[in-house]
Amino acid sequence: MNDAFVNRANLLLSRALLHHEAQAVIDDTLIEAVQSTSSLRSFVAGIDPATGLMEVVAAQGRDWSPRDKDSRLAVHNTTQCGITAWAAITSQPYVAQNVQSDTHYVRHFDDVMSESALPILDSEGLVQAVLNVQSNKIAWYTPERVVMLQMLANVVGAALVTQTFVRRERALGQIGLELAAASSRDHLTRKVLDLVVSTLHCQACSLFLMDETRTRLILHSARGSLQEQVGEAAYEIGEGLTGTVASTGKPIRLDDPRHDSRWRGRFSEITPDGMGAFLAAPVYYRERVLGVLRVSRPRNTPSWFQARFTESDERILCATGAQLGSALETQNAFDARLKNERMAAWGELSARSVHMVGNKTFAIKGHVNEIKYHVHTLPEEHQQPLGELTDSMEQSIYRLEDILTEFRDFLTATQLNPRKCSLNSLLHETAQECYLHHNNVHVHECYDDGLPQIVADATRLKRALSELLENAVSFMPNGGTVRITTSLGRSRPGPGVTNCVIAEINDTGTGVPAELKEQIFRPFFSTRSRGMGLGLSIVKGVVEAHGGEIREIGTVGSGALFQISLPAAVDEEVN
Amino acid sequence: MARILVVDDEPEVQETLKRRLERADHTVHCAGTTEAALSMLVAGGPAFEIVITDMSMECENSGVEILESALHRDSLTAVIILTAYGNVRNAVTCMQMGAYDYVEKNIPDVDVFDLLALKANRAAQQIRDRRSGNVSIIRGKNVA
Repeated sequence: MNDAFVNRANLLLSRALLHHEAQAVIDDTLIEAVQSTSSLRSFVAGIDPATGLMEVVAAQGRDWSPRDKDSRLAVHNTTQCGITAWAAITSQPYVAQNVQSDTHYVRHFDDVMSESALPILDSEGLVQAVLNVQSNKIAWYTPERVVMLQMLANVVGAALVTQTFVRRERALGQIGLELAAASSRDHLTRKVLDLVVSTLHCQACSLFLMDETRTRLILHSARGSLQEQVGEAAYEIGEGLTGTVASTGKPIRLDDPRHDSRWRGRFSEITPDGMGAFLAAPVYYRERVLGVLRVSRPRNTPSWFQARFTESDERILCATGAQLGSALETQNAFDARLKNERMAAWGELSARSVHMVGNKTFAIKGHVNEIKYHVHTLPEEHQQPLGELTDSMEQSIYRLEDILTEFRDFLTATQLNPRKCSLNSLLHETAQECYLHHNNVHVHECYDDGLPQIVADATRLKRALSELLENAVSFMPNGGTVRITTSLGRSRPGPGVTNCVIAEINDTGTGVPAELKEQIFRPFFSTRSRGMGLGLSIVKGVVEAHGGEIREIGTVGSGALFQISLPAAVDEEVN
Repeated sequence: MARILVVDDEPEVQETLKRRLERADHTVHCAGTTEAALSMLVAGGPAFEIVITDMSMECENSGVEILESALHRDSLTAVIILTAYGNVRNAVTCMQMGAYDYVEKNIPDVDVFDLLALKANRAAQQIRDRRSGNVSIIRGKNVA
């Protein structure tokens, strides 16, 4: 091996590594291979990681037709597959010193007498391509020439690996740009799926996102056969491989997922039998998993070829998941801000309206008061019809004021003036005030004396509790029992909140049917004739403003059971 | 009976309150802005015995300014704060500052005009008693 060759090979290597001219370097390396070994021609065939098929990526030397340069090599695990495929299958260099007597050789050019095929490995030791060199002389490829060709094969390998890195780096950069530029959530996810498909060479890619309850993953968008199931395909958290990624927040990479015990194959981009390799990464923001991004590859026709995803593929998908998570969270925060601004504007508008309507109502009330006074000065026979009219007007004004009060309570449910207080005392006082007016209702109060204090706006919370008690009474027209209990709740996860106190209000009315359990807390839901139907939505608003939760957990026939949990005051926590 | 200043930015409210209180034999003057009310409070002549003022006019706490000015002129003035909002925090603040009472305009099932006339009569009586030397508790802070 002469110094001039080594220098040229070094120069090619530095171009491959430092200047990222993959295609030009490969072409020049093939020319070098032909010239330095006095061969007829040479080519490089790359392996498609998705299909396992070999494809000519560059060719130099004599007699190449454009069709040859685009050709794909059939790769079969048989002796008659050609020495290029054989080198790929075995990962070993193969030299056919006399092609006429070689068992693996398949003839393409008539002038070839001997031929070498050298596998080119990637960073994980897998064959990514094969360098093939052909000569018109028998036994031309001496050990020294093979070593020279091996050096050149390494140059091609370096060029291909660098090219992959550069492509992936660009793809990640592109994803970053797309995420920043995306105008909507759908646009964002579409772009990300396209980039994942092209970067990871896979036909199928799916994005599952958590639903609002954070208990299920729903297919949000897909490339491949799952596209028709968008919005329908769903996994419970922890179910199957996809659900496991969501529950653990860790990626899963498998060469053959069918043998994994977690594999369910419920919604598969590829038919379960054809499934080759599986890779799924969490889409997350900080510690919170927002969804799962997954790709898969079919099991391939060449039986020697194991469809797989590499560690580098996993890193790319994880990085994409993290970027997507961050972008989705930004989009969510933006949507929430927009919604809050709109809500704030509506709130302001509503508050002003209530104020103005209240003032006008007050003035009308004054006029009615005056009319009533004048009616009393009239002769008695005129008093009755006019008196009935003014009474009716007065009643209408009072109902209008009821509505204003309810509406105002709804608007101000979240404006708190919190102090430390005892939930037991609040409940007891509210119960006393409420049931003074209802003789036919029995109240059982059962309080946990060891209950920690809460931080609450006593006035608002009492009004909310009073609404619940009045609600209970209204569903027991013939009387009944209301049981009020408090207890210490179990610890809740999440920073800052460890303990909570629970209040339960259970009546002996008809109860709430399962299908109405959520609806009853919505504004304007009412089965009563009076008021606007804001009652329970105000209660919910007040409880949530205190950092608590309210649910109806009773069963029809056993009465309604409202359960309120509120965070305990911080220095009152029970360990 | 008493000299009353009614402050409200709604002319109809001024008019109806004036009519109702005059019916109870009070002398009623009206102001439609904080500024007008403040200048009437510092004007010559006897101080108003009762001031009935809206809480929210130009700003959310207009009533507080009027309350302060009225008590500054004569600490015996009975200031009744009117509001369209059931804002408890405001009510507590006003009472702590020496307001005589606090009345919501829109209490369902209550004739607030009769209620105000009643409160005005009672306040006038208490002021008369106090001036004539009879012991009376008007309110917490401003009464020795």
